[in-house]
Amino acid sequence: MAPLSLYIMLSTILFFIGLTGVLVRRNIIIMMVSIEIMLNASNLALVAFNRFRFYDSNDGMIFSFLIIAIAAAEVAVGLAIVIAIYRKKKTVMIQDLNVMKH
Amino acid sequence: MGVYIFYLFGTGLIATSIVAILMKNPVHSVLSVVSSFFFLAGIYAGLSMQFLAVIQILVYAGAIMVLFIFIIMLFDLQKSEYSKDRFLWRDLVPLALILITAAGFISAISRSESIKNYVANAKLPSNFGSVSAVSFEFFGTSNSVGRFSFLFEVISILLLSAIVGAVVLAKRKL
Amino acid sequence: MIDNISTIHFLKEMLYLIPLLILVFSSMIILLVDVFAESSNKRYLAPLTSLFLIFSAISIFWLYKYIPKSGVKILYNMVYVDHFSLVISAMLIIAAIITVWISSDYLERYGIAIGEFYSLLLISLTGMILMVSTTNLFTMFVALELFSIPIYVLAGFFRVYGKSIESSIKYFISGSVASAIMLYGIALFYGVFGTVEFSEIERHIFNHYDSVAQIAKTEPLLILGTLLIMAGFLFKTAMIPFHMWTPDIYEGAPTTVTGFMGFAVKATSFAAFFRVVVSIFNTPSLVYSENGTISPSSWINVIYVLIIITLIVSNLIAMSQRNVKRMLAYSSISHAAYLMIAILTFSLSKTKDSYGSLLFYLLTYLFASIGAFAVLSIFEKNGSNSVTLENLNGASKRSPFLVASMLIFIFSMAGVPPFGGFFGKFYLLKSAFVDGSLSTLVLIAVITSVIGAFYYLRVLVFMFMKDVESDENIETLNVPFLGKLAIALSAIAVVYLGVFPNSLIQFMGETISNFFIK
Repeated sequence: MAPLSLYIMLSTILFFIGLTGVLVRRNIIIMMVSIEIMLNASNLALVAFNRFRFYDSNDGMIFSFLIIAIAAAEVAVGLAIVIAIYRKKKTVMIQDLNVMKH
Repeated sequence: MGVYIFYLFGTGLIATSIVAILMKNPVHSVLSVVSSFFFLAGIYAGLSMQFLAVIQILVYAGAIMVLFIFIIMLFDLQKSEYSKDRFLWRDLVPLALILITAAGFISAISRSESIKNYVANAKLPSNFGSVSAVSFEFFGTSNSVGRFSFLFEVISILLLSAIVGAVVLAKRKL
Repeated sequence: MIDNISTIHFLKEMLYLIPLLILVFSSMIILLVDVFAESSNKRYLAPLTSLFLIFSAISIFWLYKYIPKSGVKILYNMVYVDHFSLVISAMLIIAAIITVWISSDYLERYGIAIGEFYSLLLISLTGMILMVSTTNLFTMFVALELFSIPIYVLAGFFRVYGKSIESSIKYFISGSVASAIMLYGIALFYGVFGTVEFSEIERHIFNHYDSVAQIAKTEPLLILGTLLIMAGFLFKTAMIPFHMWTPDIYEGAPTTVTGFMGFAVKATSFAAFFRVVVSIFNTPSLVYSENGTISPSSWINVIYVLIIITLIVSNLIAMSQRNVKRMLAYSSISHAAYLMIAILTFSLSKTKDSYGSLLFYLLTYLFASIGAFAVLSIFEKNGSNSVTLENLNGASKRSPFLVASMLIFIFSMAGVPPFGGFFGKFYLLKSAFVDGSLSTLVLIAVITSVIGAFYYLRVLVFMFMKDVESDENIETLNVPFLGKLAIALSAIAVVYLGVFPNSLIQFMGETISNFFIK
């Protein structure tokens, strides 16, 4: 098996890929996809720590399950908001949403 | 053997995730993330978390990401619309910051003692990562309550609020 | 490892969560009543909701007498109910009651008086109360999501207006990023210690590490985890430079919702952050270097710098705002900086004087901020969902009652002496000053609050100016009964806090000193 550090590095890289997506992209749907990538990075870290260091309990895995459920709820609400935006403005670009400027 | 599978899946995971945030077309992006979640499920299975791997595919790739695809299909986005999202020079600032932070994280991980400190090839409990372990943690046994049953209930309220919220926001006429 | 607990015992322990249970069930009851009651008139919903909220508040008073001072850990240490959490919960419930009273008429004017609003408000309140009554990082994260998701929806509740839905998506993106960042920090803490329980993490850090330098050398993950969790909280409390879209969010959301989230999200995040600071971050080996001075790489310095930036920037930008909601958004950012000063004072000082300041400041901010937004929600022109300074012209003719109460709220927020806000600021800065090492911070806070007084007073100037409109075409505003009650009670509370602050400050101090009963 690969060492734990590789798993954690993988999860860190995944986390920063997600963060880059949120900060650099302007398409709301892709920003939400990037947030999903960030959540999955945390899941991977939790699971890897659970497997390698704290294998006599299942805490990390249970956290991952709960995070998947939370992500589902978040995506449902987020996509509903995107639908409402698209109905109103016919766009999914965050830079087109600037009714409120100073 | 397991090491090579990890390398394979890990490379695939990173590659598909990078593709996901680079694609102009949101459909391509979402499909790329779906495949990255398949790789992730493979890594989970390699960590003997079989049930989590199944859930990752069924719920994450199968339900959550398909929801994304449904929404994109609903919008029928044109190329002129989504190609407005292009890389600007001022995006280099967050990009540089992220690269620096990420480098800091990687060096921290390589120095960390608790990460070096683990039992390789440890003997796992027989029910590790199985459905019975999950059910025990959530629901307990016939005369005791699971440790995470409270959080399970809280999640149910969270899902209720998400349903109500999604209906409020997306219903045509209230 | 804790022994398994039986079902009966589990149910008994659930009794400690009775305020939460009442809120959850009432949110479901309201949904059902809303569906099955045929009438198109939804006026009964607000009184019904506030009735449930009052029940919940009564159960909090009952619990306060019932539980021991050191608090109780229940449900496999997932939840920790103590006097601190009950005091914050009571404040949150008061905020919700005021919001419900104001919203009843407000929603009706916009034609979307539906039960889902109240239901989501109650679920969000549930999450907030759960978040302040836990000493488990993961429960804290779940509670954070539980209160955030309904708030995202409430911010976009006027979905027919572009602004509201824009505020909603901006809140959604920044909030989800904040929680994802915080979650990664929690995962790192789990990875280092194998537990997410505050007391166990504290014990581990205390036993294994001596100083920040040693932690940075052997266990840098701990420092990263600290920074990530802190970044999540800084997002939630909207400190600069994590404020990004906060003004847009505040401006676009329905005004009563803005009032609620302006106080409640902030209070919840600060209370939870305070718990994290007291239990984990304040461990000497995370703050001090080997020779007993504050280590340069400690989290304290990060907060210190951010407070200075926030105080200066938010007050300067607020001066240039014409939109009152936007201005109050910047003002709430600067209030966040004050609350951060309270937390910093607490973790640096050795005396008990600073204990009461955080909770007392929150209490004064509760009435002043929600009251101000309540007044704005009534002045708001139909269909615009925003209030500019010009909209307030001649307000003193239209409704003297509203202007008088706005005067009280604004004076309190600006820190003018006889009102609650002054004593909040005074005690907070006094305890920060006595501690010595924060005197620069206190100086900057005093200077910026003088600058702040300028833009607060500008609102009043516009309210008393009436030369733009002639006297005939000013119609008087009629304030709805529940709204009048809510505003009057908030104004009385602000005055009361200013006149008799001592007993309350002492009470708050005792609440916090309960943390140290082992």
